[in-house]
Amino acid sequence: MPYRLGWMGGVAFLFMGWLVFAYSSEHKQGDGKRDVAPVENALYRAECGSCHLAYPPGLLPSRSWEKILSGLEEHFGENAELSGELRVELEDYLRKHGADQSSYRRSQKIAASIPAQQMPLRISETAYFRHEHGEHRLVKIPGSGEKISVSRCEQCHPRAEQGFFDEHKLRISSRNR
Amino acid sequence: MQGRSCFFSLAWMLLFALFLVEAEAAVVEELLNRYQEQGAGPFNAQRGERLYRQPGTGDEGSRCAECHAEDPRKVGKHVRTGKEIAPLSPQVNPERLQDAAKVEKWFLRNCKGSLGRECTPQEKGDFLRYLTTAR
Ligand code: HEC
Ligand code: HEC
Ligand code: HEC
Repeated sequence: MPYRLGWMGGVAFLFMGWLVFAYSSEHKQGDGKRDVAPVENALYRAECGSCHLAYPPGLLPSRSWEKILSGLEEHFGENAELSGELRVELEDYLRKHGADQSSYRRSQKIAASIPAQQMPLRISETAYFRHEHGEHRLVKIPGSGEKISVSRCEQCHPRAEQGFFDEHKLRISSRNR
Repeated sequence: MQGRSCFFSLAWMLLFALFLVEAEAAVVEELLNRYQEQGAGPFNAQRGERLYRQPGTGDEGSRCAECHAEDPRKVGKHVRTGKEIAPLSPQVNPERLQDAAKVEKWFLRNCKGSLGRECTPQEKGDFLRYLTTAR
């Protein structure tokens, strides 16, 4: 009996070791929180990911997200209005996950780069973004030469929804200025 | 023994498939009934197709078919964002017309976007007829 317990204890020990390993490597995958938190909310992904990529909330401060949600009837030329209930739920998610609430380093940098009185409605119009991408709204994907809106992050950052932007295998090789 | 469990799982799968088909029909039925209660009907697939292809109004209005592909059984592309849109036809995309609230939400948005106004119950019913029958 003591022997059997020891054997089972060993298995349990290994299992716990594996759990710890799996947990920590998962966190490594999050680049040790260097980049932006991934989108993990199913409602957000469905409601805000139907017309475009579900932008990770850590790309704009919470006050920006609240302003976006309060103007969905006139959303960049589209009608994106939502029922009150859904909006309240999304508001709650976005308020807690904006760049200024995040423990991810890039989000913190983004939050710090936007003056407190500003509420940008676009990620692509922040100084932080323009510093990386230039000023143009229409950009080429060099491989195909196709012109796309610079808001289509996922065309160049394939894992944008997972919060990865700092990748060396970007789909394109040169900057688009 | 194996043959038997195989038979049972097949039977379950069949039941499940039937259930899904039922569920889809149920949502469309429910919507059509609602439109009828609002005074619309009978519904006509050809009028629905005309709505799908008619030009949008104003500077920004796009035709339905511009975002959803000329053939609703094909993959579309959002005119403003370029994002792919899975086929609108429930005949090739079993996820379509499964949720009455979702259908109404997109009718509201897209009719305002395309036509500058909400669609009438008649137009919505015609359109659902078109989507469920177009070949
Ligand atoms: C009906 C379609 C539609 C829906 C639904 C929608 N959007 Fe948008 N959104 C757009 C369009 C169109 C643009 C402009 C894209 C462009 O300029 O290329 C846009 C742009 C944006 C941008 C700016 C991107 C940039 O350039 O940095 C943000 C942020 C955004 N949307 C957030 C949201 C959120 C949050 C939701 C959910 C509440 C949402 N969107 C739902 C159509 C939609
Ligand atoms: C046309 C391609 C393209 C599009 C579209 C695009 N990016 Fe980029 N992005 C790049 C390139 C190229 C770089 C620079 C990489 C470098 O210099 O190492 C970059 C850099 C970045 C960086 C900094 C990465 C780092 O290593 O610090 C961030 C963050 C970023 N992009 C976010 C976005 C977001 C958010 C969007 C959508 C709103 C977007 N990008 C759209 C091509 C693009
Ligand atoms: C500007 C682009 C655009 C236009 C124009 C447009 N739609 Fe849509 N439509 C969408 C998007 C995006 C969705 C959501 C796609 C998804 O869920 O994958 C959608 C979804 C729908 C749905 C929901 C189907 C379901 O059950 O999932 C219906 C119904 C619909 N559209 C009807 C129409 C009709 C009718 C018109 C014309 C009056 C129209 N659409 C015009 C972009 C558009």
